[in-house]
Amino acid sequence: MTGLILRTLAVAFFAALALLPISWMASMAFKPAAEWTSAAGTLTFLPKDPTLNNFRYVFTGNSPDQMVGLDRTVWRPLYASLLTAISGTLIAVICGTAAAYAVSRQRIHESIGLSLLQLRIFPPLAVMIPVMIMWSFLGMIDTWWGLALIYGIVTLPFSYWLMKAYFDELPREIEEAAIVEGCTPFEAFRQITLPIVASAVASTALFIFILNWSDYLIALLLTRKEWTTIPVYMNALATAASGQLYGAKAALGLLAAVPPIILGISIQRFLVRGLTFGALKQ
Amino acid sequence: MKKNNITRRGILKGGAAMSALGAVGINPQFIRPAHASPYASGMTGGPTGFPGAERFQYNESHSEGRAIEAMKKMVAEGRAPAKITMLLTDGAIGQITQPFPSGPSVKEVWEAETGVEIEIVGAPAGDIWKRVLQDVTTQSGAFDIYTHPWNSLGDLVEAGGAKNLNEFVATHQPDWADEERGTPTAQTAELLYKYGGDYYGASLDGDFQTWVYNKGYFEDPAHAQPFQDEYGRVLAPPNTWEESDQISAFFTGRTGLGGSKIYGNGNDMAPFWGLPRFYARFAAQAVPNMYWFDEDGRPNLDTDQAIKAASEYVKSREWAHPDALSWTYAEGYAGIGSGQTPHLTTYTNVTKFVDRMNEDGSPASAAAGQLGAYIPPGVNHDGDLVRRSVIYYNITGTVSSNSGNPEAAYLFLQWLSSTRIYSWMTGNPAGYFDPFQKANFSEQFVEDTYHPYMMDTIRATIARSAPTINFAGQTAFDSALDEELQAALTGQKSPEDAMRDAQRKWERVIRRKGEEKMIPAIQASRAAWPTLVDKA
Repeated sequence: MTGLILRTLAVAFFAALALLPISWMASMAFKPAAEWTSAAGTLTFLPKDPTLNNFRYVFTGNSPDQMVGLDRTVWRPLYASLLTAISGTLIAVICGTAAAYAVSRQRIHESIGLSLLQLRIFPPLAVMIPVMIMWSFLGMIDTWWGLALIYGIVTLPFSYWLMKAYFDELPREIEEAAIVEGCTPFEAFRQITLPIVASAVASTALFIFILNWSDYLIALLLTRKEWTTIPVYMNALATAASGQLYGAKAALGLLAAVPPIILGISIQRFLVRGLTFGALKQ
Repeated sequence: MKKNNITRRGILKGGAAMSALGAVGINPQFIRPAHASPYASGMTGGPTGFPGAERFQYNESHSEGRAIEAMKKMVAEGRAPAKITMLLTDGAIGQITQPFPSGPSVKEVWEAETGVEIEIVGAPAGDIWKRVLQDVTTQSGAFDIYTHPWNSLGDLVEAGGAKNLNEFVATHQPDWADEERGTPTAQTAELLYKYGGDYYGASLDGDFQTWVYNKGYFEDPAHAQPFQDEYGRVLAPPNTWEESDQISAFFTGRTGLGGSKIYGNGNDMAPFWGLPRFYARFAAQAVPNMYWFDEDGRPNLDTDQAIKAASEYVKSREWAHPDALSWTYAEGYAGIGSGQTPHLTTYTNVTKFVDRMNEDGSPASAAAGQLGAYIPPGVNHDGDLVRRSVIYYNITGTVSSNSGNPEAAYLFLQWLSSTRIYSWMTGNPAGYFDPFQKANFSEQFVEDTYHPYMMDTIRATIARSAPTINFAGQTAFDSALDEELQAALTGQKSPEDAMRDAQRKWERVIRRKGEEKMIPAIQASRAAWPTLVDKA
């Protein structure tokens, strides 16, 4: 009994520890400017005078407690984030799934997996500086497709390795039976294998979408204005009068969590299966 | 730039206008003469549409007018770009894009007169130098104009990122150093616009660190009398750093506006933002100045004076808010605004953001209406009072060496930084750009925004301001010193050890950069220091 209580307390403690930054952000999102730091008074965990002004500020560019309006609202970065994260996810999932299937089934070019890992072996900045120079040379800086392409490239290893693990677990006899019944290899893949691993594709896509959605470094280096994404926009939320707009940043942080949550809920049915795919051996 | 799209609504509106014209029978009294000018007599350009707009208008004999005419000529000859792209600190964009006080914005005036669009790409003040270096490294030519701290000018020139502007300056004659309207002294112009004797930058700021205080506190008998009892003198703006520290010590722990606890030292102490506070103490330690380097280019950080300045700086943390090491200038503004601090030295726009009324008539801060300003404190050297402040950050515009049309970029920069447009822009409270030109201080909008008490104080502060480092190696010098000061502030090192370690680091930077290159740059910087010494 004592052990159970201790375990429960430990779990509660670590859960609270993990939730503290999120709850602080949630609280900050509803604080007026005067409560953002202790410079103008005492800092409290909960807002003393809750307000929606921070949300209004990022969506409209104006707020009653801000002297200076924002030059840009969140709409365009939101659109840029959605477009590039989704496109990058599609690139990574489609290419990664195809490559993983080919290697898993044909057992050819198995070293491709290690080659793909090269992008993740080095520190991100060491990789991104040459990429930035290449993208600049190719005229792909500050384009949605330039950003989507690099997102697809850098997340391809995750897609490949995750999907390969799923395909390796799937008995190849199922596809062989379909081929015996008259399917071409591609039809067997599309009509038999793919529906079976749909849950795995969904969980891989969600994982990669979150990576793309939360990226800061790549977007910072490869965008300038038109296609800056939410994390870059969030970093730039500052005015001469107020300095860092902590409340607006927190409001944006809460909003930025919405798309991954919606995506997660909408594919929840697949997700549970996908995450446990291959957990039990035949 | 507004697009000339033909829309159904536009055609209908045009039709309505024509109908109205027909209804009045095209009576001449309703038709404006074709030659009617919206400008004041003799003027050909500038803002219109608000009372006082004529003060910012110009013609071809003015710096702005020359830039506009040259740009128009380029447009007519087909040599002008459709767009000029400018990298600008986020917090300054509003002064260019937001109308003030009504009518067009600065950007709209330029675009209407020249037809050349201005695209502004924003970046946070603390990150903008990295964005500049990124563009220089990739040679992408994405920006025609960079803006960055004045301190980074030398590093940018050395990296080959800034276009030499000598030819453009000679041709188009900006009024930057105009005796009537330009920089306070010819020496200031040399300091702000030139590097190594050549024109490279255009100053878009006036970051001469200025002291602001809560006058209400100083005049409140509840504070004034105990201070007099304790220190035997009147609680008044300090003349020396010693007096300043006494005021900080006295106020710490007392109760201020709204029952808040006062922290006597409101100065920035965080990495990067706190550096000019140390420099200001350091500069006043000798007559006429305690220079960062001696005449032979040797750093002075291990001198007794530097160690004394560092020790005092570290001690001043006792009177600062516990969070001060993580605060930027903005928290300093909030501190003086809330009444949490009685005085601080910071950027001059503190008063325009803090000491004002909201649109609904309520005060923007608890201390609104109570602030005052004073000239920098110094050190008394046997009757010679060396009062010093420093110039630090100071947004500066440069033309990218990778710009596809550097002359067009320069012309916009000249127009923007000349005394009429800059005065108009500085009066606009929507951004960082601060007054520093003579014309700015006689401008009513600027005085209304910054308050009359700041006008003379800023001018007096400029006259007593030493240049922080802006020559090649600045990033390395400042980072090294900053790191050591932070180590001392957090108790990891004694001020003596921190200064000696910083000395070694600075010597290493000089060796790495090459003494033959560094010594002339150091000597040129020394020549730009003020020599004004007050009497104690």
